[in-house]
Amino acid sequence: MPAPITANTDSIAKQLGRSWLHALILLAVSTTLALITNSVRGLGHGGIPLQRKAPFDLYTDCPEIADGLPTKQVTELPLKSNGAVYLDSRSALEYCTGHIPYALYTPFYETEPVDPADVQRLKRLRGRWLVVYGSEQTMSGPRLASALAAAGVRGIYLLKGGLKAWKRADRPIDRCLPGQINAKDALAAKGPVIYVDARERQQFDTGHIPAAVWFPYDGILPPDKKVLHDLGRFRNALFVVYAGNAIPPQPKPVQPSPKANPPNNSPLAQNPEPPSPPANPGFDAALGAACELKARGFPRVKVLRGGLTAWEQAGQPLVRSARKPEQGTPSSREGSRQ
Amino acid sequence: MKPRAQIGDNVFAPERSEKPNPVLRFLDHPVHNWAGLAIRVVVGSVFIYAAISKIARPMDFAWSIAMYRMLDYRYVHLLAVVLPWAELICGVTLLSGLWTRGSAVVVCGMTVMFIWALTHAITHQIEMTSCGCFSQAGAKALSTHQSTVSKSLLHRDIAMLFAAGYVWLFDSGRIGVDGILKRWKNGTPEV
Repeated sequence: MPAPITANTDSIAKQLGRSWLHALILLAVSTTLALITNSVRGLGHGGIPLQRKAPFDLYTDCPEIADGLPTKQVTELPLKSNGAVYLDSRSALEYCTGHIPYALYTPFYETEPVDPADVQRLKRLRGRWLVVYGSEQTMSGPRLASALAAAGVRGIYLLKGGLKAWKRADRPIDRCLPGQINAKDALAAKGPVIYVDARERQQFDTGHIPAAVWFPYDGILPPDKKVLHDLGRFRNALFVVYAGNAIPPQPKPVQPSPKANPPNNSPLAQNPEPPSPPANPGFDAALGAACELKARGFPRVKVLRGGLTAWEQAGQPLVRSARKPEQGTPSSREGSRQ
Repeated sequence: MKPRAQIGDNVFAPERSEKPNPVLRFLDHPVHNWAGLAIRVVVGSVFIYAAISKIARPMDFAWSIAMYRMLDYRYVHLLAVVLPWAELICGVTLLSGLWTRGSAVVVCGMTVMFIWALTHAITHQIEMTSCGCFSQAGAKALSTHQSTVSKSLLHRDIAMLFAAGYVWLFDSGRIGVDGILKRWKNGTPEV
C-alpha cells in the first residue's frame, strides 16, 4: 500500500538546497577526472595542452572569393555603427571627400597585400559585420573584401550599391577634407609645425622647405609606412602639406538648382557636396598627401595655399637635399624607398 | 509494523497525519517520479552521447568552441577538456538517478551556456556547418554564406532546459539510485 502523501516544505526545500552542493561536487569530480584523463592520454595521443598558445586559425580555407561575396543592402544595416563596421577601400582623397560616418580607412592597393596590422585589427572585431565599400571604377571594394577574406577575416559583406546607395537612402556622410593655410599663417602658427613635401623625389631634392619631410603622393602607390610611422610620433603637430604649384585651387561656383538640392531635413543638406578638386597635378599631390594624413587620423593637417611658389614669394628660403638627384630616372621614388 | 515501501512511495517525507497543502501535494505527486524518469532517460542519454565524441576528440571540440568566437583562445582548450566530462558525469548520474537534483542543476547550467552560445551565433550570423554539439568533426566554417546556426537548435536546448528544470523541481530520484539508497537507509532495501 502506498504511503500517504505527507510532503512538507522543509523536506523539499532541503532537497533543493542540497542539490546545489551536489552540483558543485559533480563539477569538481568532472574537472578532476577531465584533467587526470587529459594528462594520462598525453599530448599527441588524445590529450591537448590546457592553454592555447596561438589563436585558432579558423579561416585559412576561405572560399568566399570563389563563391562570390555576400552583400548587404543599406536597409539591412544599422543606423548606428555599433552593429557594423564600415571599411572604405578608396583612396584618401575619395575618403575625405565623403565617407560613411566612422568608416575605417582601409585603402586597397593592387601593388601590395592588405596591411597585416589592418587584418589583425579587423580580426579582433569579433562577431561584427564588416561592410566594405569602394570605388566603382577600380572595383576596390570587392578586391579588398576578397583580400581580407583570404587573409582570414570573416564576416565580410559588400555594401550593395556602394556609397551611392548609402546616399540615396539619405544616410549621413562625413567629410574630412583638409583646409588651406597661407605661408604667413603657417610661419606664425603656435606649436610644432611639420612641413610635408608631396612631390617626387627629384623635385624635392632640387629645393624644399627647410626640415620638410618627403612624403610623395601619386594616388597609386601606397604611402611610405616608415614615414607615416615617424610622422605619427608628432600626431598633434600642425602638418602643412605642399607641392610645387603656384595656382591656388579655386572652388567652382555652384549654381543653386532646386532639383539638385536635397530636402532640408536630409543629412546631406547639412553637409552639401563640396566642389570636386580642380584638375591641377601639383595641388592634387598636396591635397592627396594631406588627405592621406587626415584619413589616418592626424587632426591638424593643412594644405599650403599656393604651394612652394607662394612660399618663395613670401621671401622664405628653400634648401637643397644633400644627396644628388638621380639622373636618368624620371621617378626615383621606388629606388629611394628601399 | 511499518509497511513495505512501494515504487513511487514518498519515502523521503516524514510521516505526518495532518492534511497536506495542495501545492505540496502536487509537488510530491507520484506521477512526477515516472515523468522525471522519462525525462532523465532522454536528457541523460543525449548528454552521454554528446560527451563521448567530444572526449574522444578534444581538439575538434576546441575548434568548435573557438568557432563561436566568444571565449579568449587561451581558455578554449581548458573548456574543451572539462566540459565533455561534466556532460558525461551528469548524463550518467541523471540516467542512474544518483544525486538527481544536483545533476539537473549542472545540466541546467550547461544548457543555459549552450543557449547563450547559440543565441550569440545566430545574432552575429556566425556561419558554421553545425553547432558542434554532437558532430565528431566539430563545427567548421561554411563554404557559403547562406547558412547559419539554425534556430531549431535553440528550441531544442530551451526544451532541454525546461526538462532539466522539471527534474530539479519535481523529481527527487525515487526511481533511481537516490531512492534505493534512501530506502536502504530507512531499512527497506529490498524495493
